[in-house]
Amino acid sequence: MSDLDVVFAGLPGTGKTSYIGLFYFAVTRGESVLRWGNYADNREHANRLAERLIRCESVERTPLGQSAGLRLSVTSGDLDDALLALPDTSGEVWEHLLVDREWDEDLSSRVSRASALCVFVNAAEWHDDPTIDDARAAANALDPTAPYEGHSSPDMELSQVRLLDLIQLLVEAEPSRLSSRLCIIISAFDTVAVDSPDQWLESNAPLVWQFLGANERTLRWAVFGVSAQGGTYADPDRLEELRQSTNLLERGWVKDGEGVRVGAATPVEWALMDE
Amino acid sequence: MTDPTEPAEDTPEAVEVPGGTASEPAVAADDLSDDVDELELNPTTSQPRKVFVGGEAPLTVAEGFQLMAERECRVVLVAGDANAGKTTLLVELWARFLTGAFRGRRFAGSRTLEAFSRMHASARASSGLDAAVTPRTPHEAPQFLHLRLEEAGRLADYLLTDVRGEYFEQVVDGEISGGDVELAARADLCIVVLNGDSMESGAGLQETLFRAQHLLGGLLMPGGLRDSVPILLVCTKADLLDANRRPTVDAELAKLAERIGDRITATLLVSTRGDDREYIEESLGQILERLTAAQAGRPEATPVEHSDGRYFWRRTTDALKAGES
Repeated sequence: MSDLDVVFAGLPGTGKTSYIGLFYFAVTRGESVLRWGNYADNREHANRLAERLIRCESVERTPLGQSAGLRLSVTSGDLDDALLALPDTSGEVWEHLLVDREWDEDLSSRVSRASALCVFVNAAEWHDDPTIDDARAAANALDPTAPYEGHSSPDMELSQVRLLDLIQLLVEAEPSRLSSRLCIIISAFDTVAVDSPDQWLESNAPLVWQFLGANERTLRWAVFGVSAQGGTYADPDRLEELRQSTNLLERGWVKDGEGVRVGAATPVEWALMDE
Repeated sequence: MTDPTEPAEDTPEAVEVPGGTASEPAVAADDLSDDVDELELNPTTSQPRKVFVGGEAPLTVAEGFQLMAERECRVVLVAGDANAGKTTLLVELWARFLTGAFRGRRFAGSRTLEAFSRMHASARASSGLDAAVTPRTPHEAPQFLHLRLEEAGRLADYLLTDVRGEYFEQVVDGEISGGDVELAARADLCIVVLNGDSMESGAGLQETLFRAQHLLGGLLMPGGLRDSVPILLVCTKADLLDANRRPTVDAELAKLAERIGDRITATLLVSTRGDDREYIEESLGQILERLTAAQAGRPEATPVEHSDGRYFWRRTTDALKAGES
């Protein structure tokens, strides 16, 4: 039996855990080319995740120090029996890497030997940070007589730089990674105005988009948009609608880069696909 | 359940001993003494090793040379007095790519991505500042910023020096010259940056050009810039010059270029910040065109071949300790 290690990376609140629940549910329902091998795997954590999604309850963020995730025996037409591992690494671990520029050798080794990389971003918590010159020009357009006054937002960082920083660190962790697959998963995609995840990334993260395009001879990549919940639970009317759904896989959805709805397990399947 | 990915605390992890942990012994104290001694003598035994990554700071010269050994890199020496705008020029060139491809080139990566972003932070609205500033280059030692660009399917790596202006005062005054100037002999392009803000007055213009001539002369001494290396004479902060003043400055730059000989390939008045976006785009576009021009005909940057298995990562905890001892 071979091991298929998939690394889910992303800052806190980027939807990694919710997607693991959705993916797991899809596999258990037989809606994936990855066939569930047996009932002997420890499925406690994954079951709780899927159950919360089914009940329309927010999935709790993975606390620092916990990395239960998912380990499933799977098969498919192209694969021998394999053990699929999707560790649910806390977003704080990835944040620590970006801020403090260090990580444990265990994690870096896991990234180095991973079969696939999936990087998560949350479309609903995406920060742009205009230049002072642009902000002043915008302020002047509204009121040419008012002097521009800056307002500090110390927590604001350019989201696209953080995303690219993480991608670069992951793909360059291992030389052979330059010829493997990178999956970018945009969570909370139901909150954005555009249909196409590719278009969203190009508009909101031009630096990342250029990087991917410029390196596509060696780096295989794809973008997906995900709504694991199917909508916001904060709106009581919408929540009630979601609760009426009898199928999580109709409520929660995944779109490919062009905005075409695909199976909930497609991002992981794509990331693991052989050439 | 423990998480192997969790960052280690400063204190050593509890070491498992028969029937319990070091903090909850289940066997005789004597039996533990060896283990305790081992802990005290080597307290980091059970801590996961750390891997430190770069990207948040410019590359040291050694790291730059390592990159050059791995890839074909074009070295750009950026020289000029303190406060001339050298770092701002480089950071704003990078920042052009934040909104998309620039002049037909795409951003293809950087080993100093976070360093660029941190240097650009005080030009962004979130800084709370009313006007953009660039922090002074703090390091005495030369360092590099790295840019990887793609043009028409070809990748090219650029190492841009970020050197304190004070360093070049020594060249102006003849304390060092030519081969003494670190990185000069390795440069494939030299950009000499002059502070346009100091050229509004006749005296200021004269003094700035006087110093530039001595800087150029020093850089061109034997062992310095190679004969084939093009030199750009760039007057920054042109937006701060009166529009009527610019032709005068332009003409004086041309005269300086004539005095130096045929080594100056272009003189440019540029603006990197301010309200005149069209001028800024054109200014930085001109710099980028010349930066990438000499890349034509050179070998393309190839995918990295690693001699030691990985790069970008700096050192592990063990390597750091070894370096300290």
